Amino acid sequence: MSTRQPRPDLSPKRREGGAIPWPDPALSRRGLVLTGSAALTASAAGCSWFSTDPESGEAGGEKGLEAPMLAERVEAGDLPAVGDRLPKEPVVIKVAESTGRYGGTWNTAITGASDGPWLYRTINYEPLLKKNRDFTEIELNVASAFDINEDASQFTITLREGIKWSDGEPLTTKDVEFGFYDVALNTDLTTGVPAELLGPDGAPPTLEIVDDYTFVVTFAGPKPLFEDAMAGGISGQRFTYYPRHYLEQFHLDYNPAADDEAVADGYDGWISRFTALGNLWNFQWENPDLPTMLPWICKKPISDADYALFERNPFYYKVDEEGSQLPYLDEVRYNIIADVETMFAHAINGDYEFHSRHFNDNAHRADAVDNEANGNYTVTDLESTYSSDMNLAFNLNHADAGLRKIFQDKQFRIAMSHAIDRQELIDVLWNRVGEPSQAAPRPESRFYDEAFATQYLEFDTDLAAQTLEAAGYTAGSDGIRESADGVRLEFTASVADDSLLGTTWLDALDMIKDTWAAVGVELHVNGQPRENWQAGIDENEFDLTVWTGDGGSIDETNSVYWYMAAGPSGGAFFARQWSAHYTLHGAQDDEMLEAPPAAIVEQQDLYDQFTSEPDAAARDEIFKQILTIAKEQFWAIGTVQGQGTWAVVSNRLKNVGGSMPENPSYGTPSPARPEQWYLTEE
Amino acid sequence: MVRYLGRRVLYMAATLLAISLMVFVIINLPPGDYVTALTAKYNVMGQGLTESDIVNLRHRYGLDGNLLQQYWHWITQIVLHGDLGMSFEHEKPVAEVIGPRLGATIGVSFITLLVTWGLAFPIGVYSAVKQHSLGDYAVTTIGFLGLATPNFLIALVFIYFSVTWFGSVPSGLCSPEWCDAAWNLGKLLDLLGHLWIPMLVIGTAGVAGLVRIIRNNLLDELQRPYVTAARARGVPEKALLRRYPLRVALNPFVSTIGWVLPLLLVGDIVVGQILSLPTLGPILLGSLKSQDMYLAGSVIMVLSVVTVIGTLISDLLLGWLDPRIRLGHQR
Amino acid sequence: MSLKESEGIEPEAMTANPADVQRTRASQRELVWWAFKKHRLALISAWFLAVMLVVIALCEFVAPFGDRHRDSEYTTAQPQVLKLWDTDGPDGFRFGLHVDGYTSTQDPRSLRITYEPNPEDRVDVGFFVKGEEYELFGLIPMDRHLLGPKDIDDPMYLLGTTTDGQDLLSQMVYATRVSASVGIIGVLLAFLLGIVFGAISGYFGGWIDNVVQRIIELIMAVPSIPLWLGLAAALPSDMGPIARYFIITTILALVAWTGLAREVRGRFLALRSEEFVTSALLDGSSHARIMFRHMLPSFSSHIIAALSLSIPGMILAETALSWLGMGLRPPAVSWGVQLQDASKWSVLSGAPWLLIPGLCVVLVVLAFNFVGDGLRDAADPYKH
Repeated sequence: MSTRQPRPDLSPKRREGGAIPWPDPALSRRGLVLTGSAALTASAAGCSWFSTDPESGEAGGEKGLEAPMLAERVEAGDLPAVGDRLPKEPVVIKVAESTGRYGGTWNTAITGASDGPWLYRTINYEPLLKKNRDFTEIELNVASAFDINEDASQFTITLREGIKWSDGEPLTTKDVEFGFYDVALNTDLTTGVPAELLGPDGAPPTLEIVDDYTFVVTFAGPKPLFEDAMAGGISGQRFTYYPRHYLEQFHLDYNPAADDEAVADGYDGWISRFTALGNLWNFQWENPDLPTMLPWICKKPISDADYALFERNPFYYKVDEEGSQLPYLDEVRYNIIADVETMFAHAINGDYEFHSRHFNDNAHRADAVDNEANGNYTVTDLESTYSSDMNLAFNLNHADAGLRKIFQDKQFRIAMSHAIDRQELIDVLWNRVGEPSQAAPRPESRFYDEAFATQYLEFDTDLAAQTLEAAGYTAGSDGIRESADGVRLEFTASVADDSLLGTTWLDALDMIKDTWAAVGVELHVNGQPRENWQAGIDENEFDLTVWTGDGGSIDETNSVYWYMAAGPSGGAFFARQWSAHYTLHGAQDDEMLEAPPAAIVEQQDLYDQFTSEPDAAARDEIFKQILTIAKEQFWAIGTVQGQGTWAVVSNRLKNVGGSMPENPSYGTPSPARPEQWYLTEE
Repeated sequence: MVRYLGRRVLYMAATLLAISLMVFVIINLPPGDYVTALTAKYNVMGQGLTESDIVNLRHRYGLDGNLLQQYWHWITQIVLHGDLGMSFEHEKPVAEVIGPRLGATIGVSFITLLVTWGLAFPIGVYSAVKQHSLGDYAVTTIGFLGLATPNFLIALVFIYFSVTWFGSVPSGLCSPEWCDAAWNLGKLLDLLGHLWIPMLVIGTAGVAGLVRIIRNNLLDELQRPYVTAARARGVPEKALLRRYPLRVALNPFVSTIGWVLPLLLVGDIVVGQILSLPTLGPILLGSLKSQDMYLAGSVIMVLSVVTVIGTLISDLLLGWLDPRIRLGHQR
Repeated sequence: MSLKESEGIEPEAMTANPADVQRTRASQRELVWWAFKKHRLALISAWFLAVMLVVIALCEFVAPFGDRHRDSEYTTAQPQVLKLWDTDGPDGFRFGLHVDGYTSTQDPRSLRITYEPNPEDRVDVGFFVKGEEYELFGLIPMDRHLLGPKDIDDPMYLLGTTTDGQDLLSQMVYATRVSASVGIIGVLLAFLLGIVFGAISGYFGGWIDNVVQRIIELIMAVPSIPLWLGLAAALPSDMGPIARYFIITTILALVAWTGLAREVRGRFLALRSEEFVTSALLDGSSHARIMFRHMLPSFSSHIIAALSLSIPGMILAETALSWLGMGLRPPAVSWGVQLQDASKWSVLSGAPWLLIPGLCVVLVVLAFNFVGDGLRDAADPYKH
């Protein structure tokens, strides 16, 4: 369907219950302004103070090629026509169920200004490329062409011609240049070049601008995973997130007064201001002036009130199969509810159209299901993608040599695994639904290895005690074992205690504490706010910690940090220093306490091969070898694969498409294309 | 009177200065400081800070130097520049975080104070006049219960009933349709609909305490000889009540602003958290949990300032009301 | 009366009735006690608190299960009714203390587990049953419990279970020990500080009084909860529960001593000009001796009253702090911690018995309030 339409016919809008009749579009603009203002004055003169009718959001509206609220503005001369706003070849989105209608507000909630991930997952998925709903195929998105050379070292990318930022300025390679040189490679703004922009030699690629829309990225060697990275939520936005025309004024290289202006505005300097106003890690709801390409743009930032409001982006570059500009929904509203229980009360009251975070755990499932009729929503199960809901990582890079030796002892880890009563955990904390599992790929994954997933799962305190005894840990006078060097088996589990994460981990560790005590190991549990926990992890000051088992399925080869000493966000919990050694190519080796053992090195070498292997099937084989080593070495301990989380989906919300995986890399619910969701009356 | 006022204001300034010292100590109790927290945050994002960065940051925030120098820097920033520091959690200046919420906090506290007075006064008077009646016992019992029950428990019970009976979840101060709307009757009704639970919950302890005080004071007054004498003279009961004992009983009432106001501000911390009110309470809690110490310290300072001003006002009111104090008979 | 018996009999005995005679000869303590007894509510509360103190001392004995006991089969189960007899036996009527066991069903979609009392599954309950081992007072190993299931593996949950499968009754008993003791110990600490500062301030007067008063005003000017929270936030989170317990108690006391100090100061100021003080001074007693040996005992009943009235505030403060997550934390158990668990939507709608610890708080706070009121009224000579 051609997207170059003649100016659409604006039939009079039927406004529900409004007092102002919509002027005849045949009137000239001047006449429109006159009658409009006359009508407004007339209604204002009326006793509006005594009305009890709020100005309701429009849920009606017929479909045209653009949303009625935009059509109004076009009519008023504020916006160019829809044909001019869309790119030459807009991205066509296939609807999941039925063609939608314009209008409506998607209400959802966050706990506070720093609760960023939910924003990312709902409306921030506009990379160069994107993945389909199953996460199996990569499709074009912002890029209209993505050519890879033979050995995957050079990528020729063409931006979709005619895509405009939300303020109407065109997206060109000038923005790509800016994003690359002045942000990603600017050492002031970004101390570490992002992993997706590092070649196999550890150096960034060269960028060659061909014309206004085409650019070439050349790495020193093969980087076949670059394509995948360009389809990721944040990684794929490295080139197209920074509107030069807006951000230049905050950048010292372009505006010498940037530092002074920033300090005058109350910031530390130009860096913190730039970061606050336009850098990827700072959330778009803080700056409504930032031009973006997201389906909804910030109309009301979070700092002003207790909600953030996003309104449709008039220059959004996607259309549905009938050529109507997306998104269907007019607004997205993030209410700030500090207390998760109150948020939950809202949800079961039917106040949110879609929500799948914060309260969507086992503890709240029962009430959510029981209130479905009352709140006019359906509880939709999401597929769990975790190897287990709680993996334990002993710190193999511990600062204390005695503890380090203990943690590096595989027999010790095996014994600890046998001393966990997983069935009891399932019965008490996982609503009696779940499967014990180690930190290994899930049955649905193509890398599933039954031996790996089920080794050492049996709850057997005698076996555990024997294993410890045989490994040289003998009980002292108070019943607590000591290693041969005289180091007590007494340590502390550092746990991130967040209202978001719930108390399951803390409760689970409390139960594990008892069973471990029975074999002579004393465990203390230390729950801390997430920042403090993170600081402890970063400074390598922890004995053992827990986290979700990312990489169970869908993103096994990406979130590798339970299988080897590598991976995003600092790498493996069980070996931060060895992971840093790998990721930073030895930059921080002076801090490293011990050189990595052969198995770790072998895995890391294999991963190097993996990242430079162009053939997908061959890559899988390499990864399987990595997993085999992980199975043999048994780096981390898994516990329970639970039911998985769930989403509240209003019965009025269509095109969501049912269940989907719940996974940080997946970015639930972005791949379900919220831009094509719509609301019906009932 | 002017001298009295002047002395009090000077006092107040000194008190606030001393409070700032105490708050500064509290701010610096947790290990690490703003810059360490910032470093940790950058690490998470993959943006490490170099050594020189950290030194620069320290200097910019006045965190280098010994404790006294740091205090001096902090206090001069506040007093001279109005710069309360940066909130690490919200990544913006503290003033921008607190500012929008200050109005709501003071508003809610003030309205609750008025309602508390409005309720406590007649109830207390009735209870004293009709001592040992059924009403008196009922009031005393409810008062005791109100004092004894933790206010978050009351809030939870109210929320439960609000949802199951009225089908509305109480949170915030406005419903989505009304937040942006212009002020009209509908918006006012909506506000009241959101306000009744916080007022009830926060005000309960205050009402109970005040009722007790009024009751006891009035009872004391009613036993004075002059009341018996007036009765003997034939003064009607109501006029008698109004003329003397009530006025005297009002005195401590007025002086309670000093402790009722902080009670309200503080009750807001727990209730504000549960009901997600756009006030300072939830901010304080969040900042303390994440050890965002500039924000926490500033909120505590703000609360203290309001308290101290409240005490000043109540003392002034007391002086105005009670001629004994005005004329120098102070004890 | 014969003349012989009239020797050595005091004049009052011949005319007045014995009760009045007793009163004239009674010590202050006895006077206060008699006045206190008249106050019905205070008396009942005093008994209630006495029982509570016994429960605290014999914690492990009173609780049916240990504090680490967990039953994965019965999570969030409702309370069972204690019955003395039933008619479901093979011969009809059966006598014996018991509760009905549970049958549980799980909804496949919502995963909610519901329990029904099952009269056929009878759990015999007895007194002084054998249960988990413990050490009474930390010294005497015992395994008998006041009340419990005859078979230790049977479910007897008179107040239901928590979401983790712990017996609410047992947990509440342990929580009582923690919460009440925080209140009492905290107040005692505050009392020590308050007595010392208040005495010095009131006795010496002058600039010492000024300085101490300013300090007190300073501390009182900062709202208490933020002050507590601020101090609690500084605690490292890996502090063990016992250390944490003591530090939290100290923090609470550090803010609460000001009220007591003020009271004490007022009393000292009033008593300073009394004759007995002057005479003690002239006698050559040291200041400390005068303060703590002569003046203090004269209003000790007032002090005790003030103490009792401060305890509720301390208990409520600890409950609030723990509920906010800044005070005691799991696995330590206090009423505040229990209520934090109970502050979930699922509890309010489906497991309201988990709010019973709140009832505990209310009752204990009320009891201390009444006792304190009663003491204060009894100790005040002008009241009667």
